[in-house]
Amino acid sequence: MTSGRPAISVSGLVKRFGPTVALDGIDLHVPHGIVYGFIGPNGAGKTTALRILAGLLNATAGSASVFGMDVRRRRRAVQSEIGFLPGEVRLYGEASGRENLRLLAALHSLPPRRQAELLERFELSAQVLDRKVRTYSRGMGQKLGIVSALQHDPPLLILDEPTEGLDPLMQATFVELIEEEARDGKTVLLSSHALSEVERTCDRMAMVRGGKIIFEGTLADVRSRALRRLEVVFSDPIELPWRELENVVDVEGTTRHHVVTFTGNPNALLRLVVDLPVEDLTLATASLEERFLAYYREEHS
Amino acid sequence: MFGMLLWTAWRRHRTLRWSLAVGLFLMGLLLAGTFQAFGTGLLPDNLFEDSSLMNVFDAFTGSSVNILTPQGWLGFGYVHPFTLMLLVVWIVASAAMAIAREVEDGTIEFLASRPVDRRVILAARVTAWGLGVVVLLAASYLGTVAGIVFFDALADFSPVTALLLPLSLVPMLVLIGGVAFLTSAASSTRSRVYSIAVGFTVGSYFLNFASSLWSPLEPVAPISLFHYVSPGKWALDGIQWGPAVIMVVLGLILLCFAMVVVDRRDITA
Repeated sequence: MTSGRPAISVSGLVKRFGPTVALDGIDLHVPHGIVYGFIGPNGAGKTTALRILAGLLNATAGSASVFGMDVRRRRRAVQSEIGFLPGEVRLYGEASGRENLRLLAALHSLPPRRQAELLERFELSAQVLDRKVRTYSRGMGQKLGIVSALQHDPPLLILDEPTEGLDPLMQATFVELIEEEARDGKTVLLSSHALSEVERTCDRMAMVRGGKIIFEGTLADVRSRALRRLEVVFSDPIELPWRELENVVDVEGTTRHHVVTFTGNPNALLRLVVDLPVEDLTLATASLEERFLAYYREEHS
Repeated sequence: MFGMLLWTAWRRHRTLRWSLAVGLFLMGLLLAGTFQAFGTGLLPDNLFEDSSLMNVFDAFTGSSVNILTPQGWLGFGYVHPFTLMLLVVWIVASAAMAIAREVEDGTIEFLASRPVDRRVILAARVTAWGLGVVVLLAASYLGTVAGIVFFDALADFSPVTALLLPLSLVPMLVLIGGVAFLTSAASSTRSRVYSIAVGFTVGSYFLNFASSLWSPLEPVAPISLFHYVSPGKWALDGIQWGPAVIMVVLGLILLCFAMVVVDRRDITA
């Protein structure tokens, strides 16, 4: 199971729903033992890709395999190796939390050996578990969903928007848990549009838009390719040849207040101002969110 | 695994099942009780000298068995629209809940992403549905037997023969169930199951009814499901094997198709 093959391998994956193309030939290779982020705006195709991997949807074309097993031909064998959390946790409302967990545990080939520990971590008490699920808040339902996905201690976790509805404390608990899973050699594929969460947990990531992967790499790759902003205020009006620098994308402002948008390393820009009468200088550290927005705009243009 | 799925399906339907069972018990009791009032008291002996009126009764009873006999009267009770409605509510609602409603509610995502054969999930639902049919027909039969015991007019009618009345409905229920389960296996909304399965049943009922009363429609009567449903005839002449086997086989074929469809379909909540 942990041979040289990637944990997840997707090649030329296409999914159409009638005339709508949800996935347009994506390729994805997730190595063992890492936390892999799958990010993108709503409707980008993230959930569709995760559902294909979980055996819920059939691909229109292309192939997808988990631990070397084709997800379509060996659906149940693949499902034995994964813990799947759907984007919207919808359990049986008329049954109690405990009954839901018991049913989902019975349907898995592995025993729910981590159930008690996870229930404690996510603060799901016996009293809560005895209540009908329809009385649960969204966050409680989400926590129960996370427990049900992880209780068998599967080697691969596929989690669609796992922190939706969780309060900040529980989000922190979840991040800790994911870090532990990765340390234990598990592979985690999670989709999110909470980019700060991806920044905290993921080793690598793929960005999806319009059913295509438009970026794949590490956070450092994102940082190096993303737009940044340098603001310099001079005591006297000054003209500078910003646009001659290779990594400058845009220049705004006045002759005293220069706003320069650039990519990559700022050294060349700083060298230009080092001997000049600078009153103030700000190098804006764009949030991951801003970087991705910039990336999307760049790709779009 | 199967036992757990069966238990879950069985529990989910309990309120509906027991409510319908009470309704069918009372209907069975009521029919046995009213035989004296209508069958031997209210209706004149020469009623069926008018052949067009006889046709109307035949259309209602689903057979040419005289409605003034215990077999005819009780047989009529088992194809009475109220009895059929209670049974069809169960057949269609439980089949719709099997897959289509789970897809609509999104609960199927948790089940179908587990390493369990989707056909096993459906088989558990079909089994729960079949056990429900047994409970409902048993309730109806017990109502009829209670009526036979309590009301003198039917004292000569054997409870063993009365067993053929609910049994005569089984082939029809299997066929309607096949249609409903196949639709459920292929659908993502329960309303689609309701409209197709109820439409099939009601359309079939009225086609049979209309063809009994209006001769130009007679040639199309054999395509109606209800053309082959005749509880009175079963009670009078015994099991009608030919139509029963055809309906059961058709129903089972549809259930097999449902298994294939549920295994191959996309689960899209």
